[in-house]
Parts: sequence; C-alpha cells; structure tokens
Amino acid sequence: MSQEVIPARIRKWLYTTNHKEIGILYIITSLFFFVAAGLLALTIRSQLSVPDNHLLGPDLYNQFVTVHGLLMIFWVLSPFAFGFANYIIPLQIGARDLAFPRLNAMSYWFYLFSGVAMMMSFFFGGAPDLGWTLYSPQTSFRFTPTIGLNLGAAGLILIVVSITMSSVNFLVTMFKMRAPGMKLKHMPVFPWAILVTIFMMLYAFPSFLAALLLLYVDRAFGTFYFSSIQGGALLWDNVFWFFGHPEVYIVLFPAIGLIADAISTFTRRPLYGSKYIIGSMIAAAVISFIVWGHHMFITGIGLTSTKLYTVTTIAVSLPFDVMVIAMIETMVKARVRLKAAALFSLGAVALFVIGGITGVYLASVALDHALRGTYFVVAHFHYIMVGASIMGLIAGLYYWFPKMTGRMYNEGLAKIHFVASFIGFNILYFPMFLLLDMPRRIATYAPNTGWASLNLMSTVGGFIFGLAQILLFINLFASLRRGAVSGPNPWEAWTLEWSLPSPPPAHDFDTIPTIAEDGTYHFGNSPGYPNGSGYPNGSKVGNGIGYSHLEGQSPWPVVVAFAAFIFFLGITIGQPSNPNVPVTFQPFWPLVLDGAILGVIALYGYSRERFSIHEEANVESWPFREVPNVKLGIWTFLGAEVIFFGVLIGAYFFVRTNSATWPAVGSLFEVRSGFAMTLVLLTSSLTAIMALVSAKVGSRNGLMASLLATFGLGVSFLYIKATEWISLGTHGVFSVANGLPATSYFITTGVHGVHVFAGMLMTLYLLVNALKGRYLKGDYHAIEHFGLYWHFVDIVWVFLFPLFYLI
Amino acid sequence: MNTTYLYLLVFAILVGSTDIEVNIVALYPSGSTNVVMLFGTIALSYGVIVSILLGLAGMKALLIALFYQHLKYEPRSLSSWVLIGLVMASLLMSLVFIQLHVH
Repeated sequence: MSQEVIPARIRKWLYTTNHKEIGILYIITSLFFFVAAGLLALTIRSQLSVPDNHLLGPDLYNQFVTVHGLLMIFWVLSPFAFGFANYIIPLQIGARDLAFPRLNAMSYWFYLFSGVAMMMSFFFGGAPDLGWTLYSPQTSFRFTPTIGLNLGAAGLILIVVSITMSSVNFLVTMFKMRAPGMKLKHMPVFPWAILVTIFMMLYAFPSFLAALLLLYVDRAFGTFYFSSIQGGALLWDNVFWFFGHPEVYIVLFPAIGLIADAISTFTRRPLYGSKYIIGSMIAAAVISFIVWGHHMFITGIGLTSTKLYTVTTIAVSLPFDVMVIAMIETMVKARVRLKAAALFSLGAVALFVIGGITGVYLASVALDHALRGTYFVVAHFHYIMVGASIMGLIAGLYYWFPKMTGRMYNEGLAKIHFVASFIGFNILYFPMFLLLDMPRRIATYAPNTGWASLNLMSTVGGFIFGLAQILLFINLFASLRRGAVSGPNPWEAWTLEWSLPSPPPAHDFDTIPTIAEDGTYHFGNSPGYPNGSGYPNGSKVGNGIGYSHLEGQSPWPVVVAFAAFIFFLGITIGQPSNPNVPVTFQPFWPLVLDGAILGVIALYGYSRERFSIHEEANVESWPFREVPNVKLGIWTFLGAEVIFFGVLIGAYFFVRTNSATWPAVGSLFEVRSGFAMTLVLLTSSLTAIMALVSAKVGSRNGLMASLLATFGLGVSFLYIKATEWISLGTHGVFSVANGLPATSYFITTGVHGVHVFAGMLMTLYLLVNALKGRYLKGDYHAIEHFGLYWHFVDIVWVFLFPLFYLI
Repeated sequence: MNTTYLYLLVFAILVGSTDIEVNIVALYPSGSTNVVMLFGTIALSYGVIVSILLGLAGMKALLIALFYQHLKYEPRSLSSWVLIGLVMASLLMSLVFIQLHVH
C-alpha cells in the first residue's frame, strides 16, 4: 500500500509496532467499548427504573444485558489493563519494547476486529442474548437460530487469539528483557500482577477457546457436545467456569498491582509487605483454578464436590486479605497525598473489601442456594469488577496520564470526578444487595414486588456514575492541549518509567539503565539522587549499549488480523441450511475463501518482511538466560496448546463416560488405519529431527530431503485421514451430527488435522527457503522452531490414537 | 552415542511401543477381560488395559519431548518450566475429570 493511498498520520497508527503507541491504541479502544457498554448499562437501568416498563422488550433487554457483560469483561477490563501494560511495563523493567513487536501489533488488531464482530452481532438478527455465561443448551442453533450469536462467538474466538498472543509476548519480555540488575524480586508490583495474570490467561483462555470451538461446531455442523442429554449442559458449565472464575482475577490483578504501586507513591513509602502481596497473588491464582464448582452448586454436582468447592472458595479469599492489609498498613501514619489517582486507588480498595466480603457469603452452599441468580450476586460482582477493577484502572489513567502525554490533568476536576463516581457507584450498586429476592435477567417486574424504590435509586446512581465519566473525558481531552507541562516525574515516584522524559522517546532509553544491587532507584526530583545520574545508591546510567531503531512499521499485523476477521465473518454470517428446521447453518463460502486467501498472502508477507528485533546483551533474564526469546515463546505457546487439547480430550472423556453405550473397538474405525497414521506421523517426527541435524551440519541436500519427506508424510497422514472420513460418511456409519461417538471423533481428530495442515504449510515455506540455501550451519533456528511445533502435533496424535482407536 | 543413532533408537522404541499397543488390543477379546499372552491368559480389567495404553502413550510423548524436542539437552530452567506447566495442567485436568466422574 503506497504512501499516497494512506495518509501518513493514519499509516503511523495502522502500521505501528511501538509498544507505547499500541498501548495508547488499546487504552483508547477499550475506553470506546467502555462507553458503548456503559450506554447499554444505562439503558438497562432505565428499563428497570420503574415497574412494568416497556422501554426495552424482553428480547432486546436480554441482548443488552449479554453484550454489556461480554463487552465489559472481555473488551474493556483486560484490554484497558493491557494498554497500561503495553505502555508501562517495558519502561518499568528497562526494556525498549516487547519481545515481539509485530506480534504485539497483531494482538491489538485482533482485539479491535473481535470487538467489531461482537458489536456487529446486533445487526445480524440480534446479538447474543443468553447472558455472558452463554449457558447451554440454549446456545444450540436449534434454540437460538440467530447469526448474531455466531458473530458473538467469532468475536470471542478472535479475542482469545489476541490474548494468547499477548500472553506469550509479555511473558517472554518480562522474563528475558529486564534491565541489568533488575531481578524478578526488584520488579514493581504492577509488572508482577501482569505476570501472574498472564500465567492465568495461559491456563484459562485455551480452555475457553476449546469451549467456543465446540460451541461453534455444535451450531455450524449440528454436533451434540453441549446439547446432548448425556450432560451436555453440565459439560459447558464445567469448561466455562474452569475459565470463568480465574477470569475474575485476570481482570482484577492488574488493577490491584497498579493500585499497590500508586499507594506506595502517594504515601511516599515502600509498599508494606510487597513480597507477601506478590505471593498472595500467586496463591490466589493457583487456588482460583479449583473453585469453579461454586458457580455450579445448584446444578447437583454432588456433596463431595460441593464440600471441596466450599473450602477452596473460602480459602481463595485469604490471599486477598493479605493484599488489602498490606495496602492499609502502607498507609498507616503516612501522609497520603490525596491526588485523584490516590483517591481512586483508595476508593477501589474500599469497594473491593465490600465486594470481597459479600463474595465469601456465596461460598456457603446454603446461602448460595438462596442468593444465586439474584441481584445480590449482581451487586457483589460489580463491586469487584467496577468498584475494584474499573476504579483501579481509572486511577492508573490519572497516574500515568502525565507520563504518556507530558501534560498534567486538572486535579480539581479529577477530584470532582472521583467524588461523583464514588457516590454514584454506591447509589447504583448498594441497593442491589437489598434486592436479594429479585431475580437477575428479568426485563421488568410487577409493581407489587416492592422492588421499585430500590431499582429507581439504583438507576439514579447509574446515571450519576455514568455522567461522572464525562468529566474524565473532558478533563483528559482538555489537558492534552492545555494541561501544565508535567516534567518527567510529577509524583516523585520510584519506578523506572519516571526516569524518562514525558512522553518517553520512541526508543525509551538512550542507554539501558543498570539497577543497583538492592534494587532501588531514586531519581527525578526526589531528594537524594546523585548528581545528574538519576540513579543513586550505586546504580549507573548507561553501559554503552546503543539503542535499536524502534520506529519500525509493518503493514502485515493489521492485514493478518483483517483477514482473520473476514474469514470468521464468512464462517458465521451464513444462512440456516434448512430455514424450516434450523439445526445447522451454511457458512458464506465466498467470504471464507477471501479471508483464507488474504490470510495466506498476509502471512507470507509477514514472514518475508525484513523486520529485525535487536536483542540487548547483558540483560537480566533469569531463569531463562540461555533460552532464546523465540524458543521460550514457542514453548509457552505450546503450553497453551496443551490446555486446549486437554479440554478437547476432557470433553471426549466426558461424553464417553456419560454415554450408556459406546461402539466397541474396531466396530467403527479400522485399527489398521489408525496404526498406519501413527506410523506415518512418528516417521515424520524422525524426518523433522533429521532436517535439523542436516541443517546444523550444513547439508543442503539432507535438509531438502528431510523436509520433503516430512511434507510427504504430512500429506500421507491427511490422505489416510480423509479416506477414513469419506469412508465412514459414505457407508453411513456416521456423520458428524450422528451421535456423540461421531461428534467427538470428527471434531478432535479434525482439529488435530488442521494442526497437521498448518505444519505442512510451514514445511512448504521452509522448503522454499531451503532451496535458496537458507537454514544451514548457524542459521538453523527456524528448522528447530518448526520441529518443536511438529513434534507437539505428533505427541497429540500419540494420545488420540489409543483414545479413539484402541479403547 | 551419535545423535543420528540416538534418534533412530528413539524411533524404534516409538514404533515398537505402538506395535505393543495395537497387539494388546488385538489380543484382548471383545467383551472379555482376558488377554491372551504367549504363556497363557491373564485377566485384566478394562481399566487396567486403558491405563496401560495411556501409560504407553505417555511414555512415547515423553520420549518425543526429551529427544526430538531436545528437552533433555535444554537448560534445566526450560525443562523445569515445561515440566511444571505439564504437571499443573495435568493436575487441573485430573481435577476436572474427578469432578466430572464424581458427578
């Protein structure tokens, strides 16, 4: 695309790979979705303000509630936090960018397009309307034959892809790119919070992705994972909440991290027990994965499970007590500077305490039976999601606004914003605790229920809270132009980003700083910093490392994301196969094809683009000092893949153990066929490793032959698989919609087959380059990285073979 | 040992264990718990058969990860990283299975 076609100012933002600009894009986009979701919320509150109201019909009301929840959880809270993470974390750890800048850009564009898909769902027969939990079997095409739900699912799949890419990127950056002397224990709490969040994302989101995939194939192909009478609905519950409860902490921890650092700054004290705060986050993250059953107390999960989840749910509250006590202890006898960022931080802590305590009530089975599905629960989770997370993130916005823009905001207006928000918030949500007999998700209620006055109060609070946010936008927009110049460190803060000019230059650091042994760094206008160095206590500025040019732009991330968007539009906006019996639908194939072709072109362009990433020498990279960035990234990605396939296999176990009968071994599948495929894949692993051996010793012929053999074996595998599929279909043994044995077989082996196909495309790409003499001797890393992936695909089949063919 | 020979040896073990998997099933008469071995018949429950098959699959996966994905030769930090991740993932998945089974 030439310069004439796209003006430079737009091109800068479209093609940017700089972490700060991408951070700003994330923040602006998430604020846009915040406004959109907020407007939906205000409409919902208006509907509920008086009994028997008909502002919204029940259908539209359900759509508004669902999309409001989905937008806030997926498109506002986490992306808002990751906007800060993008901008701030490289600065805080002394890096010049994230490990993979183009991947970072791609994550953003996937996020944007995913949100567009979700918003578009309103215009395709109605948006998702089942609540953010998307409970089955209502989600089956039979019961919800709208394209809008397909689009919503596509949006969710795209955002999970975005999140996975971001997780890998941040993890590698924080482990491998810290400034010299910046040990893990020296990182501020915010990067630690993001690190813990990323681990949770890597475990939780692949599970959700697998669930969404199964939901999609249920809807598209009429399979029965979530609509079977053998516990399909419960399968969705389990898989969804395995992701869903950690998700609460995923959206909460970044806010806690930045609140902790802000409190430290505004009290001018080191954070009390920061190690314990970090330890508590890790503990809460681990426990959060074994509490999901408390969302299912009323599904009849059994007494043993109920007891287990009661205990773990109460246990998960303890680490949060430690965090809150540490923050309060930091403030004891301190002279807190009550700037807007501090006020929002303190407000968030106070609201978090209320939200947390009311959550513990729900750990009790008896109380849960009474309160489940009432407005008490709505109040509880909004005190966490809005009170703690949103308030905390707004604190972050005020805290880092001067760093990002070089301008101060209007402090008086910001304080009014806080007071209005805090009062509005409590008027909005506190009455909901008292509405503990009002069911959630009802579009209206009768006048004699006694709920009217509390609902009206809540609605008034909602409008106060909503209108208060206008002050935020006015303040920030006005301050961008007319705010006082902030200087590098207006808060006299202690973390590394404040050592840089505001806003920092594109390359962040002229020279990478070296951090003192004790991890302290005081600078800017804080008293006690050494003459001109900015880094006291023995730390030094500069180690002679020149900076790489970080204003590099790439058109491919946005094109790849756009191609994925088109592709998913194509597979979701088709028509029902049979309008009279809407069980499945037909994708819109021309669009699918367009997306696929554009995707292949974009990925090819991406791979061919000369985009060098300079890796600093002498950085702090414990514990992965000897592991290259890309390799660590691939292993992390494969970790996410393990969870993804784990859930698919888990779903197979579930449907199989819940089915009264299952075809005997050999009655449906030819064991010989599975055996042949296994041998083919095992042999391809051998040829893949021989390709690496050949590349290392510089044997071009050996490399070519090995890659060619790997490709040929991949083709053979897919050929045998296709033959088996066709044979099963032709003989009417089963089709994809013909019962759970068929469903689980086709979907699990099909997803694996797609992985094999992707590996073959990689092999083809490597072959083309190997023909030109690449990858020999020291240039073998691409072959090694491909091998990691290919062997993983092999490992998956090693399990699928006995599961589907032998038992 | 020459790495090529090592890779071939691993390959031979992988193929051999796959062969064992198939033969276990071939020798396992449908609907019976008896496995016909060369030296006679032994009674194995279906659960034991499944465990053996999954155990063999796990062993094969381990061999591929250690030797083909080079985890054996990587720095301990990386192999521990993968191991801890796998153990945690397995624990979580086991919990899910237990939860499903208890139900």
